[in-house]
Amino acid sequence: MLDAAIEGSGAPDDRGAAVEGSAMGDVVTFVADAALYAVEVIRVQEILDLRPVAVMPNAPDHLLGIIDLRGANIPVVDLRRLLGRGVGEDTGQTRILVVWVAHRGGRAIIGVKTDRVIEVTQLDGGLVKPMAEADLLRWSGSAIAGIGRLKGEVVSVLDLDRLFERVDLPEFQGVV
Amino acid sequence: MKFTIKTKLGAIFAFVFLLSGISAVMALRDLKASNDSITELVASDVLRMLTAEDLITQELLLQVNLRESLVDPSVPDAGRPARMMADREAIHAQIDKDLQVMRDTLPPEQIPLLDAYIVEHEKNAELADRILKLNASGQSAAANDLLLGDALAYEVENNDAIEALRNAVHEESNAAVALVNEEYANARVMLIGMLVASLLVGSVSAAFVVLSISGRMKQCIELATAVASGDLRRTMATKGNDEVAQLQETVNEMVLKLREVVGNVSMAVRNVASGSAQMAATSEQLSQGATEQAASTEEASASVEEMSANIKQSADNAQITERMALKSAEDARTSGKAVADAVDAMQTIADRIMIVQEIARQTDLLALNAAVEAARAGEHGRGFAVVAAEVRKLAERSQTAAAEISSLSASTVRTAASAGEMLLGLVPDIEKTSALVTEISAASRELATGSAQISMSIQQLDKVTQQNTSASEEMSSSATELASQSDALAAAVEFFKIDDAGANGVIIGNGRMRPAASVAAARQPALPRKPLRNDGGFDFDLAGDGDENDANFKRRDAA
Repeated sequence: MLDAAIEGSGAPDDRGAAVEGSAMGDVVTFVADAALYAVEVIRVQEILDLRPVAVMPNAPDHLLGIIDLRGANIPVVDLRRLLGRGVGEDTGQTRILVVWVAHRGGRAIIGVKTDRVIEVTQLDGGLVKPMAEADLLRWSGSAIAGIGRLKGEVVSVLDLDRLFERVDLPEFQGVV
Repeated sequence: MKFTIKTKLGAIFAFVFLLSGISAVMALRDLKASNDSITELVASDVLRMLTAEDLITQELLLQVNLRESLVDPSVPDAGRPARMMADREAIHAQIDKDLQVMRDTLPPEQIPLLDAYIVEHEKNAELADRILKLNASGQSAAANDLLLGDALAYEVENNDAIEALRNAVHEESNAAVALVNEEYANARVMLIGMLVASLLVGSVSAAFVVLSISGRMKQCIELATAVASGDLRRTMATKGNDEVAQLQETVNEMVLKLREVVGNVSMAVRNVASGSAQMAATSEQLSQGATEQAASTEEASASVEEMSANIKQSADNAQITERMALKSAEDARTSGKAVADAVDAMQTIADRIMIVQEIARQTDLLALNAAVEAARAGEHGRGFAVVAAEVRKLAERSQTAAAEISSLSASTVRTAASAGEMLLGLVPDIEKTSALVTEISAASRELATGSAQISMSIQQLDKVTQQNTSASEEMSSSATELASQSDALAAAVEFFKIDDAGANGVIIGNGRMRPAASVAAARQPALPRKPLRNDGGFDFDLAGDGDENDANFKRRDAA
């Protein structure tokens, strides 16, 4: 469902009925497996270059490991695997997007490995449409908050909280 | 059956000898008969005759003895009657002996005559005994009377009888002589006949043989005379199969063979004549050719000298080229090194550009984060967001430029590297060129040596050509001499006439005997020659495909 995270509203989980063409602020657009995605910029803390990831024992496939960010342990998730895509090669443009998600009443900081981060921008018209017109697509577990356009291209706006509901984040992810 | 002369003469002589033998045998037989007759005459008839005469003599002695006995000597002699008696006894013994001979030898028809005589003799002897007894008894007168009476008559009869016998014997011997004479006459006639027959047969046969031989021998002599005078046109007819016929056939064969030989010799003479003419023409041509060859050889010598100079020039040029090629190789090597240095510099530039790219990338990331921060800052960060966007644009541009520089330097490196490779590749080519030029130089030196040898060879060729010229002139004079000799030979062969044409096919006419046609053929135009160039030298035609000998003159190390 649409995560109508309006700038300034710090209250998450405002899940209501489908909103027609709700406005949206700045987003960070990025690419994973040749598809264009976007998240709200307020969720983004930082964009990191690819750095060594400490592999965790018995971790699920999508959890790549832990990186150190100025003394904090940040888990890193592979967006490709999380979205059910295949495994891709790391390139010089591979970035780790550090975002926060709502987790057990607090915020959890997570690193998301993307193929490429494009820019901080506004969607065309600043609008995002829900996927109501396509109930077919409203499968269980879908983490798409809405579909927008950027210079004519389709951009999927991700709902990070729902996306990471299924992910067993480590317990030590304290509230930032 | 072959009746040779030997056979014929043998037969004739055998016949004559046979007749002579027959004559001799007959003469011997007749001689033997005559001998027998004469032996008979001597041994029998003469003996009988002598015996008969002896009988007559003994009778006369008896009669004498009787008369002596009747005569008394004046001086008595007591022994005389006994002596007389002994004489009578001896005479009687002789008469008995003769009678026995006569009886043994006389033919039977005369035995009666002997017997008649014996009767008379006995009678006479008895009377004589009576007379002697009378005388002994002293009745000499009675004895004398008796003697003069009866005794005389008896003695006459006795003498008649013995004479008759003697005459008979005489007649018989005369008959034997007549027989011998007759046999002699017969033998003479026979011998003369045989002699005449031998003469006749021998003469006729000899005449026949002699005539037959001499006629054909005369033919032979005539033919031989004709051959001796050179006439071979005739042969003679042969008949018979004896030695003379063989001689005739042999002479005929001889003539035919001579004819053939003379024909062959004539033809050979013709051939020799024409051959010598051709030889003369050919040798003349040869001489001319040798002269031209000498001229050509001189030109060739000049050309070879020129060629030698050219070859030397080529050798010098090849040496210069070799030096230049070596220098070029060195230069190419230096250039290759310079290009390698350039490639290294380009590589360094590319590394530096990588640093610039990294800086631009990090700047881009920083700008992105700044944009995120600015967006999070909301309205307060708007201006910062613009700066961040500008910074990010600059970073992207510098990244693009660095990428362009990088790709440019990469392509430059590739180009320089290929240029270096090309330069380095040039080096062996140039070195190869240098080596080839060295070989060319060596080959040029060899060529120079070879051209010197060619020049020497051409001089020798010139010498040989002069020798050829003189030799061909000698040959020409020899051919002329040969032609005159063949003329003489033809004239000598002309002596023989083998057919009625009379010339034996040899044209003697002017004594030259050169068939005009063959001379004209011998003077056929010489091989077409290329016109000589005025500036000397040869046109060495090296453009063609060459001939099969060219394969022998390839460079050894080029193979």
